[in-house]
Amino acid sequence: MTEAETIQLFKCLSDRSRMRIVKALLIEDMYSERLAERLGLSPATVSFHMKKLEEAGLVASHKEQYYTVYSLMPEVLDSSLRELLGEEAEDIAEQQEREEKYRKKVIDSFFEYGKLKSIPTQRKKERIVLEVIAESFQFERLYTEREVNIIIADFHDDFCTIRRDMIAEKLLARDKSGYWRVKAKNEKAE
Amino acid sequence: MPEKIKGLWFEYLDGKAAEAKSEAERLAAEDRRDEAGHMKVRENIYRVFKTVFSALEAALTGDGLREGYLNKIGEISQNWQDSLDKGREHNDAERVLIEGVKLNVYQQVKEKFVEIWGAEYD
Repeated sequence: MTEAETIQLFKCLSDRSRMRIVKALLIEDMYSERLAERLGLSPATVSFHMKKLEEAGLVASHKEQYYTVYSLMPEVLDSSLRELLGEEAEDIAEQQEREEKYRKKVIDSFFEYGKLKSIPTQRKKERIVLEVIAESFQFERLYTEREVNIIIADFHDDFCTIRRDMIAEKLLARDKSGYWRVKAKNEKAE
Repeated sequence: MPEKIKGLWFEYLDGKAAEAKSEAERLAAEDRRDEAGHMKVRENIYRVFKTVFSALEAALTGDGLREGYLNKIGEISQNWQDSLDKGREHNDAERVLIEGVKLNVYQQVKEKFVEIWGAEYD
């Protein structure tokens, strides 16, 4: 478990309702309606907490007929505090983790359910957004301008600006024959 | 518009906002901060509905005010409904919960407003 994951776990558990849910699941696996009844919370509130617990890796869910049944993850639950705190993150890993966190934050703020809400004005942020859009293009395939526009329009109406910026950022390249996706230095072809 | 209705209406909205605020404080004191945050959303929605009423009563009177207010809060709640549907579609538990809280306040407010208005006018 990385430092960031450990922090997420502690943050997640620093909430009385979530602690009560974990305590209830220590006794037996349960579905959310039953947990809601037992803890006096609304089913929507329980679902909200369960999502946080799942994201922290403490809980897993599976479907049983109409119900989603939750259970605790023993590998996280049985970790000692010493084990959780003893993880030594290397500098490079930490740096990557920070970058990944920043990238996720940018993606979360600019995209909503796969749609780009607005084109970032800051270049670093726009680069991240354009990289996400570039993932919709295959390597070693030639696209017509119309195809490029259609793919980009799935994300945002201003496909002209985005197409031009993707060329400028060297995520796409073009010549008379059409457009293609460019491999970044650290990127491998699919 | 009789001042009496306005008085009753603001008393109701202020009372509900104060209740939600105090519940949020209780939850926060119990270390249930996320639920406290959801309660603050409730409080804000009561205040939003008060602001909408204040804005409309400056321009409308009588049945026009009644219809205008119900239409306006209906329009606002439609955005929450759309957002809730999107949240459900994408299995976004947090959004579903928050939009559900707002819509729940809307239902309560709408019914109470019709009740107060009806008691005074009908």
